[in-house]
Amino acid sequence: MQSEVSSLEAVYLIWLSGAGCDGCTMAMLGSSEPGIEDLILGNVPDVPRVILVHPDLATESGDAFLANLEQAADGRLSPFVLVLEGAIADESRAGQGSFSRLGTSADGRPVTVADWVNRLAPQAEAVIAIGSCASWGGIPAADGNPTGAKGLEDYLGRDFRSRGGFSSSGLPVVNVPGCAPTGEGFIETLIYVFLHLAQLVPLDLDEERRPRWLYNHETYPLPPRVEYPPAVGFDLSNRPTVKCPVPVTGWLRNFGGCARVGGSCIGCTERDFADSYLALARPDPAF
Amino acid sequence: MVFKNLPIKFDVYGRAHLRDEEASDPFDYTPDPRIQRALNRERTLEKLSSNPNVRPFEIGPVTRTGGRFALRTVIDFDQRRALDAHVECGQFAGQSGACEMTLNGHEPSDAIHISSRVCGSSSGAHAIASAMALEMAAGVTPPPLAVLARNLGSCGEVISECVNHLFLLAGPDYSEGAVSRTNLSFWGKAQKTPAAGVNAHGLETVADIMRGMNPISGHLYLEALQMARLGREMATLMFGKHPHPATIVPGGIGIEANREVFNQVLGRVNALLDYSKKLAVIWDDLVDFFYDAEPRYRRVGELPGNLISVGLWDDPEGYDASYANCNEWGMRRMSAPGVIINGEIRTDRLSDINIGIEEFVDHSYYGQWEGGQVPADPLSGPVSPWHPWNKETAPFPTPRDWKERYSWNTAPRWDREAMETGPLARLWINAAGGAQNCEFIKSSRRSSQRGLEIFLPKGQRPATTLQWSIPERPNALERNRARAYQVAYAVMVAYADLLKAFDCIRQGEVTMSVRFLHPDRKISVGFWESGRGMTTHHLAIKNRVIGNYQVITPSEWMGSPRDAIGLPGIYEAAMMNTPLLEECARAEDFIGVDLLRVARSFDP
Ligand code: SF4
Repeated sequence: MQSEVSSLEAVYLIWLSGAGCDGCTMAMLGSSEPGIEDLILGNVPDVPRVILVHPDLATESGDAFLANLEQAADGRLSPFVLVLEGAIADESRAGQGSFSRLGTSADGRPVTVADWVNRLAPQAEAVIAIGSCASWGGIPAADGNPTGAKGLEDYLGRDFRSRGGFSSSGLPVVNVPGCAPTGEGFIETLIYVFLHLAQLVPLDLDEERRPRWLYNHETYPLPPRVEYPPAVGFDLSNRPTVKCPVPVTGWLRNFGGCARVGGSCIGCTERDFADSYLALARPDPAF
Repeated sequence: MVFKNLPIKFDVYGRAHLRDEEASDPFDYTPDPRIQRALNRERTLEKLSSNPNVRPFEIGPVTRTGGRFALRTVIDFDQRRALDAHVECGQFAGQSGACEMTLNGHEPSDAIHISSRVCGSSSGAHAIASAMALEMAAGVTPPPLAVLARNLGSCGEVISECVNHLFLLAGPDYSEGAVSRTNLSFWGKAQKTPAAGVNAHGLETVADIMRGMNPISGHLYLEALQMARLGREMATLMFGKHPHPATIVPGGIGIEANREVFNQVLGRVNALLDYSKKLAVIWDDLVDFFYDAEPRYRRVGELPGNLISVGLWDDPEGYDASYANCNEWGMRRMSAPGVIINGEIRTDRLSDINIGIEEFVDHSYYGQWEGGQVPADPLSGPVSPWHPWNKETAPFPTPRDWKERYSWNTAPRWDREAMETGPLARLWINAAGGAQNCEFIKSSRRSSQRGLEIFLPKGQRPATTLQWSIPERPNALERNRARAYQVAYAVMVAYADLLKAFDCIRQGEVTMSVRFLHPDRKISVGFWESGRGMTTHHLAIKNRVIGNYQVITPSEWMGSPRDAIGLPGIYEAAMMNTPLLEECARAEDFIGVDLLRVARSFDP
């Protein structure tokens, strides 16, 4: 399929918030090189101007806000890229109620985030999962949570393909995991997706559909005060590896960065990190 | 009197007791006369709704509040007033309930990471509150430089939240785009009104301010994005990562205490120092213009003034993490704790604030728990069966029914009153209580008006002293004005903390954490605040693991539904008082901008 994006000035970016904390939005707003405003103002070479439809930033509310989503679902607002932040709750477990409401149907029933994903994902040029909740379920999918929350790829099926991309087969869900991921990493991914839709660059994703160049560094879940200054005698063998750019890039503008500055690494970019990795990041009295 | 509705009295030593030690069910609320009043109110409203110009008006979702709120009002379109209001929080997971359920059975220190995920915007406040609850349980005190580092990260978070709020969330409703659409007569006037603070911010007219606030295109909006980033960078320097700190540990903080990171924080504080000088003036000009253009804007979002704060930013010499001494170290905070009800100071003691809390779920999508295992706090002060130490989190999703259950928020109350928390509450409590713990901030009295003076030293702009006065009553505009002054307040707290931190480093006091051991069994509480307001974590450790973990967020305090008595939450009450001053030619054009201004004056 020939992408429409390359010939276009502007692309809509539709942002949905599922089960999560809005921290990914905060991380995204924190990125300054470039910032989201540079994309919205069309300041980045070769990248179409972004028209952002975001529940935390929109000027309109209520029906006027939801009208954007309606139009996109009906194919009247295109092309668009869909971003999901937060996991998708299994609404069948909410009985007569709902876990994630985003609007009300004509007969008074809740319209949920899952309903919007069902309608929007097939129309999107690309679908991006920002953060570990949207990628794998994250904290809302941890033990003890009753919502049966899932990541986007689990929800849509691993074979799901959005419309855009080089090949006629379309694009899988692009995962940008991390709790939160760095804002800069997300913006960079977004730019790459746009360039790819414009057929300017390939989009190299790894087996977990993460941008390969961002998630190629391996680190370990670590207790605080182990890595900086590097602890002598801390045994790293038998630790699972974690793929995350932060030990190399820092958290933002090359400072901060978890274990790099003496904090812990809880493996927050990985599947089931709360259930599987947190135990390896507890303060170790020996260090 | 500290408590008027709860059955708690105090002896001469200030110890709390039940008023009637013999009562079989001392916390029974059913005799409260306000129940009948709430019912009568409902009935009166039902009668009014036979008027064809009294109609329901709903907005869902309310964007720029996290996008998770929906509101249903009943509006009298003749009188242009909202008569009734209900507010739904439509999202379960991600709110505190989800994290509470996940934490059961976890090793206690995991709480820092999981509970910070309650909120992406104030994750630092949650991580610190959680660490404090753990320190109280384990009986350890973090070293001075660690306390200062937490304060500094928190200042960055508060600044970032407040600046984002003023321009990204609330601000657009006061921008040219909104005002020229919903208050058209104001727009002409704004173009002719010179801005009094032109020397501070360089903008000639109020219209220039409003134009600068236009989303994405306005220069004040774009500048706010950058300034909020500086706050986030301060937080990142101390927390290693933000949102969701990587360095907070029970007993201290994980970062290495090198001068370089503190110098990097100082660079950002310096830039924010200059920004905060003009920020307060911009909001003064805007708020004063609205009052002048339409005095009834004083009534938009007006409430009687039920204000609560647990305070924040600890004194490294005072904080010892214990419950026994929490009233002493609480009072030494650089923003002091307190409760004001109807303008009257009820207490400044953290233990009173703690025992006065109850959380009701009668109108929430949660099931009621029975009884509780904690009858008293560690000082033997009685606590209610609805106190968070006694609460169990049990989701119970049902269809939304505005008379029955309609929100994923619980209804926290203090002395059975809905309470407002956030920058306005903090400034007010410090002004009324004498603000004495930061050398750059003083309480003041001009004529009969109490207020705060915030001294901002010379940076690129000259030194200046900002004067904030306690307003007549809380309202939507005053909440935002206070938020602008809060930025200056937080900048100066950060500056004072940096001076102390450099002292510590020069003297070689660079220990950042102490060892700790989880106790077998203990109850404890962490008190902190985010930009948005009061954040408490209530912990019960059983068999060395978490037996119960309860978080109360500012969003729950204010965005709460009705409680067991039938009293509305803060958003609801503030909307019910609101005149609707929107100018629209046709009824169909009405968008409810003043209701939205009210919702966005709080910090959800
Ligand atoms: S270093 Fe570890 S904790 Fe930090 S962002 Fe990466 S995976 Fe998450």
